[in-house]
Amino acid sequence: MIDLKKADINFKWEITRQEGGEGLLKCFGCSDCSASCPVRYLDDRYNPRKIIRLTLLGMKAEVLSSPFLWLCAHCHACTERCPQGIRVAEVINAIKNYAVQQGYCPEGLKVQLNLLNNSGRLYELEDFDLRKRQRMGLPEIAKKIPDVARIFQFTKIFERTAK
Amino acid sequence: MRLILCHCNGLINMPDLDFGHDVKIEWYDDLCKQEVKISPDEKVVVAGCSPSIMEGIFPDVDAEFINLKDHIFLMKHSLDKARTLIKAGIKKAKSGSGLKRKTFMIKSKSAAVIGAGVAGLDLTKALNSAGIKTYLIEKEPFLGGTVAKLDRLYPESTPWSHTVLPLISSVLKNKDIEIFTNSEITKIKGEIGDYKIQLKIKPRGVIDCNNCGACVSVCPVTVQDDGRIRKAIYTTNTYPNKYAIDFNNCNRCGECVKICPKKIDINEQDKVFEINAGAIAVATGLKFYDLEKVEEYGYGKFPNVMNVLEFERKITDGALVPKKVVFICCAGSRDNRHLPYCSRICCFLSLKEAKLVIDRYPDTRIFVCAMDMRSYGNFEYFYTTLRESGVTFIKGKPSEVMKRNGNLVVRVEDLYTNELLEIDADTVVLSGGFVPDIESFEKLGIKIDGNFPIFFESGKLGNIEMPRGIFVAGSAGFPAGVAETIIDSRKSAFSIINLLKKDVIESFQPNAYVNEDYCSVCKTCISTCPYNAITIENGKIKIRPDLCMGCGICASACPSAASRLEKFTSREISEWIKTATKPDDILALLCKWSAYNATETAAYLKIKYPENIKILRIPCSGAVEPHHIFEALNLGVKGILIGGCYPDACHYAKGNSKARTKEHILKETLNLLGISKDRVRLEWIGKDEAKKFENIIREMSLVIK
Repeated sequence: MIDLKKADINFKWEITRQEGGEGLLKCFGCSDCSASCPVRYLDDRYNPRKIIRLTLLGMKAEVLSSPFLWLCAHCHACTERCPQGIRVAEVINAIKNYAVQQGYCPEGLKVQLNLLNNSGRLYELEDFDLRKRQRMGLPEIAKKIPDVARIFQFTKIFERTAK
Repeated sequence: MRLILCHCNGLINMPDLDFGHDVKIEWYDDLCKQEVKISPDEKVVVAGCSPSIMEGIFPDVDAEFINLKDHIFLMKHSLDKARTLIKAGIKKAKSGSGLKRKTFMIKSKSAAVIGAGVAGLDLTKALNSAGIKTYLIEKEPFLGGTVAKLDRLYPESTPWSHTVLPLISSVLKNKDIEIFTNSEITKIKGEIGDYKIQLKIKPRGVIDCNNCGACVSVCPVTVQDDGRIRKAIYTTNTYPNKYAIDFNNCNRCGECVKICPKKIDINEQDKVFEINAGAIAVATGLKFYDLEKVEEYGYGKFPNVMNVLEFERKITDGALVPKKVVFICCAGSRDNRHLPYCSRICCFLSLKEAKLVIDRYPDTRIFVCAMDMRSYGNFEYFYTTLRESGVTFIKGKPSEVMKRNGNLVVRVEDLYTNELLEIDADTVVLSGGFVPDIESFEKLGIKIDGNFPIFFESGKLGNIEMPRGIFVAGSAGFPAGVAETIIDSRKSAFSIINLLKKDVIESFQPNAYVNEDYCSVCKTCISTCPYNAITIENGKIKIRPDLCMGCGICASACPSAASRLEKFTSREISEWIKTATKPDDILALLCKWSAYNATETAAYLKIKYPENIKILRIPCSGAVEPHHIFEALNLGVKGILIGGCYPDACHYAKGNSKARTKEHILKETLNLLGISKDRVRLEWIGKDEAKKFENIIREMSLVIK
């Protein structure tokens, strides 16, 4: 049961002001997005229709804290099929951005950011990997990409996600 | 008797025809291009192409049609069969008493319009522009109807004054219109073209008025009028431009009489008036369903639960400034406990009210709970704009409206999120359905089909949809928005003008009639008639020729064979069966609206069926009389096929279901007599289902040996 007393009237308006979130209000709940979604097909805990409808009801904390929000694979199948022309994947993206702004950054994302900050890569390169590349005749690459950390410093991403 | 044959551009050729000395044979090359002179009283037999085409070529002729083209020549059946069919046609024509011409005189050239809402006003305007004298009858003291109580019209939110005030002024401008306010119809007599209508004109109380309004200030009685509070003496900004006393609420204290500088008479009596009209238009408009019956929503119990009209009037009055509003669509609609149908406009009414709130108080929280938002056509745009302006739509029918801590709480499961919601609100608006004004329909003898009147009874009398000369326009027929109402009223106006411009209307199609010598007044026929055309007058059954559509269902139900259908009497049909069928034939009695057309389709598609099928065109599968089937079986006919329209698709509403009932009983009887029940089949055959027809015939030939 949803307690509408906790609803935030401005939540849906905040999302429409985010980049990509503009079409949100057009939703009439046909559920074509959910029916098209390959993630939804594999895991029924992720449901783009439900995320959008809860957003429209103003259930801010519930939407932003949901771990399933982050399961979207950005395949854009929903965007292709939405009868109202809502760019659904981008609306989900807008909600994610807003979640981070509001301090609902999931732990997994933080770990990934740290990995990127340290080595510039999501998968750190070991000597073993480099030798394997050599054997296969692939060119040598740097173990670390320090530019990524510099980008992070410039965008102040850690300050944003620290909330 | 004349036998008229058509060569059909060389397709049909039959040498050596001879049907006795009294049959004059005439051949024509192409009946559809040649003119044949036939006097109106003459009976003829026409053999050529499809009867549905020939009926168009000979519209006013008492003719027996034989389909040689589709049933013989395109099917490449033998000339012997053709001769037999012609002979049967001649026998049938000779044995019948023929068609009677029905005429209706249009004596009165004026029209009566009941109801002065948008539909009534527009109709009056249209009729008057065609030069027809019109009586406009309104039961309220003021013109305008339901629309004049509103603030605005959907979807553009234009005030009603844009539409209705010009209509009223154009009606008032004209001298050929008589307006009766505060009037009701008490009695109605006559038939199409000549109605005598008795009116009761209720007292207005205010005789002479200068609109000073002094009476309102002294009136002690306050009245709740659809969400607005007014005194028992009041006025509106439509016509007439003077006050009126609401005598249902007035306590006759006489204060207004004392203060009035002009003249008020509270002891005025009812007046009776009689008018004469050739046609009547019913534009009685919308009637709200009593929402108190929908107990779970607390209408009448909680003061802040209201219907759309009350809400609109309260908001525009400034009597209500809501913070959080919940609209409940389908309150009592699509609900078998209340109104089983969709009233079509209530979704838009709640959208309109939502827009009204947003326009006035943009910060109000608005929830609209709907099972389905039925925004057909361009109204989808209206729905989209409201979603975009931040109205929250919830899919689901609220289970109840409760009161908790002084607030209203609406409990609903939102199907979009599969979550249960409890919305607390200060105002709940119920968008309920509408009911027909049964009382006035009954007075006029209009049939109610389920819940609303039948719109188009038949086109039998030319272009007139309602053979009684009574037309239903606007929301009286079915709830409609203002635009749809105006379209509908203009259609009715067209039909009325078309009717009243004629002096006589004629019909030359088969009708049922009663032979009083045989009739025992058992009243069986009355209940079978789909058009309420059968009545009892002075202890005798009478079939009204203006209402009878010629389906023959009454004739087939009559236990004493007193009720008969012209051109399809028992004698004619049994003559036809006797002459046309031979032992081992299959007799096909096919409904002219669908199954018979399938045989024509078979001819064009070259779908061949065996030669021993003899096809008779009947008006309806419900018109088949059981004794014809026994007669045919007696003659040695192998099988009998009765073809009708699919369930619910019957041209005469329920003829096919009656045929089904008869078939069951007939088969039981056959069983008792030791006759295989496979020999009689009732099948639904659509107009293009030639293949199905062929399959049935082949099955019948195989099964019956």
